[in-house]
Amino acid sequence: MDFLKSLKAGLKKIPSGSLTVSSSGKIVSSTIPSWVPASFLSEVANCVISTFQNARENNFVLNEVVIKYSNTKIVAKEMRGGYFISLMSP
Amino acid sequence: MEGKNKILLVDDDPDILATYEELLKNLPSKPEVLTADSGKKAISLMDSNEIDLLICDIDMPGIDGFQVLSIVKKRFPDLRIVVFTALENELYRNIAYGLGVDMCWRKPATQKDAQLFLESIEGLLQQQKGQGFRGVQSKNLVDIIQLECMCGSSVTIKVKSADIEAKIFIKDGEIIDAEIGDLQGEVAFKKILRLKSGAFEILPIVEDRERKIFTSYNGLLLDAAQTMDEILTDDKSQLPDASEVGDRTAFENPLAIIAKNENVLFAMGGDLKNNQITGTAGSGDFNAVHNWITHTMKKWDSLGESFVLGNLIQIQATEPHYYLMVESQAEKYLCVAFKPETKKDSLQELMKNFKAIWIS
Repeated sequence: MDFLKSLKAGLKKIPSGSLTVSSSGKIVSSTIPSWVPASFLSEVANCVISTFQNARENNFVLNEVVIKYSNTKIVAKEMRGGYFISLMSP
Repeated sequence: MEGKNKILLVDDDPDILATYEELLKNLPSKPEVLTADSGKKAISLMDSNEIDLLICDIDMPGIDGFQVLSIVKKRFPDLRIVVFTALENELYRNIAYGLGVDMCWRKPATQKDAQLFLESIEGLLQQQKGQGFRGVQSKNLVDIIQLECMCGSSVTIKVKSADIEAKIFIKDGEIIDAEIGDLQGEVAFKKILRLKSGAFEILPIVEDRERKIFTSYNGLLLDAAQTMDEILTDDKSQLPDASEVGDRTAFENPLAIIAKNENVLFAMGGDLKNNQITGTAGSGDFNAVHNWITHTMKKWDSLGESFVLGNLIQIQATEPHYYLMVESQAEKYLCVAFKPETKKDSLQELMKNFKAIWIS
């Protein structure tokens, strides 16, 4: 079903761009076009923060995380006071 | 075969019916595609149309796919049938094969899977009705090659094992070439025979394929059998003794083979559904890594579903002491921790090979 959804969504792929978010999840800056729903960006930020936090809770420190989907790649790096996130279309 | 082939596609999901109707209509043989959203409608359509191929979902309300298959097999014993299901269950596959279906396909999850599915449907349509026996199961690749060569066939045997795709070209009963990745000829043929499991498909021969193998098929298969014996002996002698490492399953555990690679610190497998580690090899803080993987995969998987990002293919994480790569398949995951000095451009290829070992 994901595959069918992907086929249908083919024309409105998530564009490439980057954003910085604070450690509390607030979007500080973004180069992602404004038509991309803010709910999507804040959900990405939320997942990134949760990924890094959970790693810390399990006693390992991550420098960078790359999440690959069939339609999009997300790269997240931890910076002082926040995170830098890149979205890349294949 | 004269006239267009007629395919009947049965699925209760209108999206699937519409999408695959379109895709199937565009196959090279341009078949006519009929659709039915229930088992009852399918049987009624089969009574009024001469169908060449039935593609049927299993999980449907009312008359389910198995009931349709039972009825259809009794009334149309020569009909070619493909089961097409979202359920990945070995028991269902066995029941379906027991009912005499030609192929069982999990509903494609990627463009590549969809392409392979369509190619196999085209392959089935190309086979002429009433010629040859069907329903060959659990035969290994050597058996199939031998059979095709002995029959003097001209075919292409396409083999798929995990993400690896390979082809063996047979012309007039002789193996003329093989390819896997960048390899061709005898080297490729030997590599293909090392694949431990997968699916194969018989396609028409590529007419203008240049001959690169000149050894007879008997010679090649004997040579391959000898190599396989040597590999098995070497594998066992190189693996650590079970009693030495305290790992009872060292001989069978693919993770142990992965962890032996010079670039790997540790490898582990887990079950996402039951939240448990299924195997480990090498040394690492497996519980911590497992906790992180289950948490992270759930989060990103859910994001992918909510926002149509496609399937979650891989998670990579850079940690000061290692580089983690995680891939999942059917609620199970494989996690490999690479040494930080491993060349970045070789990571994907290594992971692809490890996944093939893990799946096999």
